Amino acid sequence: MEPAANTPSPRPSILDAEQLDQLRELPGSGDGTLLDELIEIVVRDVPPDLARLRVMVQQRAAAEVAQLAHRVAGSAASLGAISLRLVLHEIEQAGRKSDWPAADKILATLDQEWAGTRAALLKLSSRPPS
Amino acid sequence: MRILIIEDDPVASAVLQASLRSLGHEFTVAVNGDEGWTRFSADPRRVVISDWMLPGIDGLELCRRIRRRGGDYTYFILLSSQTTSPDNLDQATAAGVDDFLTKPAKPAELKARLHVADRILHYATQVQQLESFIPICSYCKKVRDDKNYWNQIESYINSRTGSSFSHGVCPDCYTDVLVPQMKAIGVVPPAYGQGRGSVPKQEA
Repeated sequence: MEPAANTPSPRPSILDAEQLDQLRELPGSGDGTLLDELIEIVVRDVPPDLARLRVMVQQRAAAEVAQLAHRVAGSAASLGAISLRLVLHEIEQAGRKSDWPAADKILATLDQEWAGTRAALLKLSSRPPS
Repeated sequence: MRILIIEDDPVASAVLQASLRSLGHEFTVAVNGDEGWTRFSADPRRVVISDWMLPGIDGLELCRRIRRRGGDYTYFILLSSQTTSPDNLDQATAAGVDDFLTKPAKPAELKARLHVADRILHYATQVQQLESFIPICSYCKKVRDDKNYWNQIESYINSRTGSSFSHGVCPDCYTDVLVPQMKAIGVVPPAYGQGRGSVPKQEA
């Protein structure tokens, strides 16, 4: 039986296992692993970026929203955080089109998305969370 | 290779740096377009890996500036971006981008791109070295151009540099060529650089 046409597409995993495997093979800049370094950067940098993004959306600053969402989406993609990347990409597109109702709607899910991603990343880290 | 990375996303930059370290390349890092241009101007690297969207000067403008400075074959520019469309590719190619990296860059893909960069820069260096040798006929001194035509040296240099020539005679050629010719037609040759010769008086 074919699925109904309006069946929502399955929600993607939080993290991309293949991307994480590739990161595990790369050397860190110091004694630790690259993956630990990346998780540390993301856990430190993403919350203030998301707070700025929220303010920019409230201010309807289209270009700034698009640029910041694009950069944070890039961080998420580099770390294999695919569901977070998807949400940020949608905000970026909404910013480009100045589609503020869409941006507000997506923004409402962002904190939850980040919380899930953060928890999943911290499980992978061999360093204690700061 | 010595590579300049220009990337404002700290995670993408760290992944790129780790990939380059694992491939044995040296690199320096700039975090925005303005810093990238300053670093490039101070110490040009032949391979540049730049993000497309950057604060300040973006990746395309950076690429145009590098091309204006170094021509088409001196530097190899890899532009990284999260997504590319046919329009984007046209725009980037027109700006002088050599190749593209889709983020997140996979080490194997980066290795392949840099291998191509190395080959192209190597060939470009060889061509530049060959172009610095000018083939010239040992006898008539005509020069062969890049279309295999033999040209007078004056027109060859004029076509490449725009320089014009004021024709004169050097002291050696004056003595070896002109003096005998003047004597042969009965003209007393003046000293070199002293104006026209005079016809010798006929003896009575």
